[in-house]
Amino acid sequence: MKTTRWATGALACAALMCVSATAWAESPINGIAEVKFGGYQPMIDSEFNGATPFATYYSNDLWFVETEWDLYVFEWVGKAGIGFHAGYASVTGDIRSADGASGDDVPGETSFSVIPLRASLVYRYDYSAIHHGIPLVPVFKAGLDYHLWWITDGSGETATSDGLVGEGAKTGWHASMGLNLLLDVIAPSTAAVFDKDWGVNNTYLFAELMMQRVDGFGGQGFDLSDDQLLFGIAFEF
Amino acid sequence: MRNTSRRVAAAVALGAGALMCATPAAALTPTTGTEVTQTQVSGFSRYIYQLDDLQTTAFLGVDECVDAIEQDAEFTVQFTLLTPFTSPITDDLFEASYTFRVDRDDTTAVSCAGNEVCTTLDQQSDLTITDTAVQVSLSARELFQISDPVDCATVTSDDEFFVRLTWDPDRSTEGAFSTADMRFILDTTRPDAPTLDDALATENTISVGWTDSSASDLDEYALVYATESFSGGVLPTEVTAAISSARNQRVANNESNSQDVTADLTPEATVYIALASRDQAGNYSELSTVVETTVVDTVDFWEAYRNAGGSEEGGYCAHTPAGAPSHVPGALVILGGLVLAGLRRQR
Repeated sequence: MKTTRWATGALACAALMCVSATAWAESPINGIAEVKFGGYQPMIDSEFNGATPFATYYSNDLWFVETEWDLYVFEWVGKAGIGFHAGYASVTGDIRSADGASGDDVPGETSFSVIPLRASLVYRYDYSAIHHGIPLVPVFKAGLDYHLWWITDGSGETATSDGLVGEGAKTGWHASMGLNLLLDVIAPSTAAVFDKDWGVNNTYLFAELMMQRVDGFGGQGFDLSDDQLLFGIAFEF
Repeated sequence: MRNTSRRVAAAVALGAGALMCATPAAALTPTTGTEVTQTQVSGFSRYIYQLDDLQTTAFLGVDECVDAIEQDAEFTVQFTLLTPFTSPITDDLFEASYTFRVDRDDTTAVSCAGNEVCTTLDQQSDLTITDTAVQVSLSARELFQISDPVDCATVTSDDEFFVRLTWDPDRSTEGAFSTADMRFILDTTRPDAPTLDDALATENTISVGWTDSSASDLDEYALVYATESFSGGVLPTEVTAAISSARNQRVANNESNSQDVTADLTPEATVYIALASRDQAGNYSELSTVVETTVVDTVDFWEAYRNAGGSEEGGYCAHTPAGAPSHVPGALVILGGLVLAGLRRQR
């Protein structure tokens, strides 16, 4: 047991600063709020054999931002809870003439925007961070998605084609795993003040790999699926 | 506002160096004495094209001039006082207010004391004082010295007219005087037209590029377009009045000398486009040379996706494999949230 504990501590110190378990704030912990960013490229063109309308109009990835609020409902070895997410992603491209020309000869733009809404089951293994001084917290999430989307035409209004309005929603699911770095180890006194003044017990930087499959559970139409690498900051309260 | 009308005796006109006016340029910027918290013009507002941010300068163009002179409009300039004058008003406090005219952007200071440039308003009928404000009332014809509205359109001018109130806050015959002004800029000079260099049109957008007008008081541009032919060299209002399909869109005066404006056009149709200047007083120039162009048929992403054979049809119902109710995923989300929320309460 002593050898195991020594080896664990040595490993943590090799990667990061070691910290005493007493650096964590004393107030109750109820949940965590996250803000994260990354790129997003929906798999809309996967529907076609050869045609690439999405890539043709939108050469760049969508920039993606998402907020998440998790509420803890269970704690034993780590914490489990439910999470609610809301995000936003948008990209704009040049409108094109019927023969495919774009740029200065064809004024106007068309945009594609998405608001992902999700509900998750969340598990955070912070047991070692609390009890063993290892400031790394693995996080696992899975849940259901409902993504709102809309497309604008050259006038900025919602696009239409053959009587169909270019807006709607897609359902799906997601699963993710992430690694959180506890920032309290860097400035424990600041963390204590943060808790006292704002109720923020712990602050993390994190990276998260998320797999989302948003295609109406295999239905027809848009496939808004993507595998994303996201980075963000989290405040545990 | 409570009304207590009293007549005010005359005060002495300004000595240019004895007053609060700092520099010759500031003398022609409307002055506001420390006792005046606000200057407003009312009763005349429908004849004013716009006011500046401080509300102390009113701009009138040709159209406003014609209306005001035709109607012999009466306006009231109200100077709201910081402290009500509750003590009896004496002759050494106020003098009949003045009006005077200067050329546009003239920086020469004006002192009304014994100056024929200034017109003294009728002391008995033109001033009204309440416990919080002083009101100066006069007609447009009297202020602008124009009696025939035709002169507004035929006699080009670009002048500034001041209505000035003067008083001695210390009630001393040799004390420093305070002044407050309301400035009316009457500009009946139309600006020069710009040069429309290029114009493109799609179903939703008209894009134009131009060479600036030389007008020194240029405010913005007006883009006029129609699906019927018209000629340049006329006012935009003449085109919009004569052609039902004609539209007039505001275009900002920007550094890039180009702008896209929203339009609603039919692909492959012919559209006629021209540009006019508009100055700070709202006067249009004549239209530039008209550019004739064909509306380009455009395809946005949604149309391109559908044209490529995409199966998405839009809508907010959840798509599921055939046979499954469309609202199942949403229900699961809600149900799961309720269950877990209940577990949390028990924790």
